[in-house]
Amino acid sequence: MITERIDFKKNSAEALKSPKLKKALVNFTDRSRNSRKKAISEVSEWEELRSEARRIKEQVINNLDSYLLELEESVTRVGGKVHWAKNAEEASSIVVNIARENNVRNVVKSKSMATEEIELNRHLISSGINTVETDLGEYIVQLCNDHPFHIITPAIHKTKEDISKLFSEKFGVPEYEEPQELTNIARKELREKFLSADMGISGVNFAVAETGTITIVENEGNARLATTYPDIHVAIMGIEKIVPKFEQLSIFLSLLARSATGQKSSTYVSLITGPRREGESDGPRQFHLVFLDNGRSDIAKSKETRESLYCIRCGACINICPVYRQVGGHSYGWVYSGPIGAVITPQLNDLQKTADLPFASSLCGACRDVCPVKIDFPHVLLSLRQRVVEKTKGKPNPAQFMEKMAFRIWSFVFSKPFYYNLAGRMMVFLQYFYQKENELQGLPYPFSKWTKEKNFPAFSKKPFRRRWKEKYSAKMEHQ
Amino acid sequence: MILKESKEVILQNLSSIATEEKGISKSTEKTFLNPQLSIDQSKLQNDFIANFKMVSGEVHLLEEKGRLIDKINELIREFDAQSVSFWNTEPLKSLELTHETDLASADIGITGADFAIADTGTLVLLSGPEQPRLTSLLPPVHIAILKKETIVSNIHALFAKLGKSYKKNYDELCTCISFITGPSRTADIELNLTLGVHGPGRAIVIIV
Amino acid sequence: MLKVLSGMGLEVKFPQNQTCCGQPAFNSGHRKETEKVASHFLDVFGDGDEAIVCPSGSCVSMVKHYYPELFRNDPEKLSRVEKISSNIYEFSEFVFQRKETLSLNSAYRGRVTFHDSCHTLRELGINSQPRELIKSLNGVELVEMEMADACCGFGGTFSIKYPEVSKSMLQEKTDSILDSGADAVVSTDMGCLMNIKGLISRKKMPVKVLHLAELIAFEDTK
Repeated sequence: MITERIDFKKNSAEALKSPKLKKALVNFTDRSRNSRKKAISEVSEWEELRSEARRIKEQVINNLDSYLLELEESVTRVGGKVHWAKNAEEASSIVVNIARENNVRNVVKSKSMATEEIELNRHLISSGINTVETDLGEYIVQLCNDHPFHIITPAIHKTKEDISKLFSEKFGVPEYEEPQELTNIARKELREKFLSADMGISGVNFAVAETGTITIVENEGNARLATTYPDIHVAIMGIEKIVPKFEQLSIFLSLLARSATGQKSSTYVSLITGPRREGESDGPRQFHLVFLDNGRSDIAKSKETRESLYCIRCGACINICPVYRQVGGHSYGWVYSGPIGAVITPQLNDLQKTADLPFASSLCGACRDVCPVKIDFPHVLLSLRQRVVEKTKGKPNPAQFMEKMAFRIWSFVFSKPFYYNLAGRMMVFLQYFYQKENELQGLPYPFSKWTKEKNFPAFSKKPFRRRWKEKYSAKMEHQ
Repeated sequence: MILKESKEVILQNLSSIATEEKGISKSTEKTFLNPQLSIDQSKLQNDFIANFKMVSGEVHLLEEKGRLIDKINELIREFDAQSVSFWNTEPLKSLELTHETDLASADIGITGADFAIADTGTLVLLSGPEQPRLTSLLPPVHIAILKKETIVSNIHALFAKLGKSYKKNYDELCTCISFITGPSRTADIELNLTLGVHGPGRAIVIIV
Repeated sequence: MLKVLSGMGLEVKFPQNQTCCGQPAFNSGHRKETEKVASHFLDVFGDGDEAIVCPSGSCVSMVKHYYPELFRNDPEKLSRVEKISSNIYEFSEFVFQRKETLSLNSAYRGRVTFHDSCHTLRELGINSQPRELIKSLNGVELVEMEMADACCGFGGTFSIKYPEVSKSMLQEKTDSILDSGADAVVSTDMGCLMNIKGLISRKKMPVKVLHLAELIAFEDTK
């Protein structure tokens, strides 16, 4: 949960100061954009897949109550145990309790945004349970006490020099320069963690209601290890992650990897149905599935913004977003960044504290075009903006109050042609003080925000409508 | 108890979605599938090979079954492997390989493959008593023996096939179906591709 | 615009009472204020019997896509919105449909690059029409810039709320414009053009900023 107000303006201004960050962001977003484009160009039925995925998600969210019950039944049938958590604390304490009941000392985790959301690591560690992130990016982030920068590539803001230094400090190895060498060190360190772990924690990409199968998609193999080697597997899923039918997975798997990383398929996809069965030599002996609500059922209730729950966390919207490209992941102040962050964070947290985010978009709509489930981001953002304005009506901050007044005056002037013309003439008079070569510079607040870096066009002394009128009446006379 | 209460709270919250918004009833579900079932097998094999190689996988083609043991021994020598772990299934079962019981220290893991997907270059492995999951995961080298007739065109065809083999009755679904597309990889360090971060750094397929 | 349209043999009217479609307030979340201005728009443009042509794709998308939402609880206005929506056009789309009647010959000589306005491209799905029109002009060469479809950073009040981010986006845009080697950038939305021109003229970059209509009706000033 967010405790302090997210100040997007401050955060982004900070991020914009770093040329190193900007370089990493441009490199990363360029590559992601191009590889996604190439990957989807090879799938002739891409649009049909998107439409069908959206239709399925729509159906899931509209009937989420019955699908959750079906999933619970299926998971129980195959020998797993389902836990319901209405908020973050509850989810964390469920996991801590499972660990305690089984005398768990070492936990390995694979990447999961849901566990980031509930800050599970903090809870586990403060309960005296060793918890290690095993996705290489997450591991790096954890080693420097940082936060993930992106939902797919969490450490994209770290250079190999940063990582080389970090590993040398932590493990007493020489400062290797080559990424492959660094990877080998991480393999060695983390392999030991896996072999001594008694509990593995994962997220869930898709959960099949009819079979109780959870699907985990990854490239490294750490999720496979975390869900196979330790005796206990705990998977945490946002309640929106359901797919009704087993066969429907093919649609979502076709969409996910291509949208996320431009791969035809991720390296590893695991379809896990319950704990180890008799005769099997590996796989966990206990399988727990935690249903995390944490505000999602409230989103489901809102017709306007419900589609935020269709998201399959591919990150395509983030990679294409021109705003993210400038400001990076941390500016969004929470687990989710880019367009999906601007949409989800305010709905899963206090709206007042996250009020900046729905406005942190130029509404260019590039995110909607790439979204594999066609979330209409501009539409949802506009709804949330309206919600912010309405929610802050009673107690607006000074800027919100100013804006409200400005739009009141604006709407009055712009709905009365007389005042509109009058205002136009006033502008022509006032601009005299700021005019330079037919353009305006150095305007007073709040227009100074524009003219600090750019010129503003001057109002024409003879507005178009006057020129029109003169021409038109001249014509009339002529006839 | 707290947990039961949460379940009720969540379900109650969700049940307030008006019934008219519930949309398409479950019975009218249609699933878009394009399994492309009628593609000829040699094309599938070539596509699989091309795509598996594209993700840094390695492929060896065997025309005759008899030479499988030679091929495997050749690879064992190439990797200078001291210990090998393998699935106790045919054709591996009858190859008289020395089995390593401690998987964690094995140099090579050899498995079969139940299916493969041509257009993504993916191996599909089902778990079971004789088909442990870790054989394809813990050792630094994974070798999979793939029968060419099990290659399907795309992921939709794969799910159609799985559906068929389970006769749409998924009660018998195995505990883990693993899709493996090349060696373990990451791009977490400045987007540089590196192999073998957790799983095998070498993924080798022998097609028989 | 007037020159282009009249040149095509069309009679052009300019309702003197028109002001704004209301998008600035709508995009900032102020629905009540939007309704007021949008109602005025409906009153001015009446029954939609005559085609409405607009120099900004953004305004067209506001009317077409967001008026129905704004007035969803007002059946009377909604029916007017429906009529108007079916007969409102972004400039390039309108002209392209009648390109055979386009008689003007642009006096512009040189290389121009085209910036896709987000709303023209993504809300209205228009991308080939303006390009085809540019290519059809004698003596004008169209050169594509990198990421022509990337947002210029305007976004209405976004550029005032987060001017630093907006500027950073705009900087990338003007860099691509300069890199393209074009001597003019053309677009179909007054918002983008105002934004792009703001930086180009502040930094005195050697590039003209023109609306598509200005390019088509370009006169040799000497």
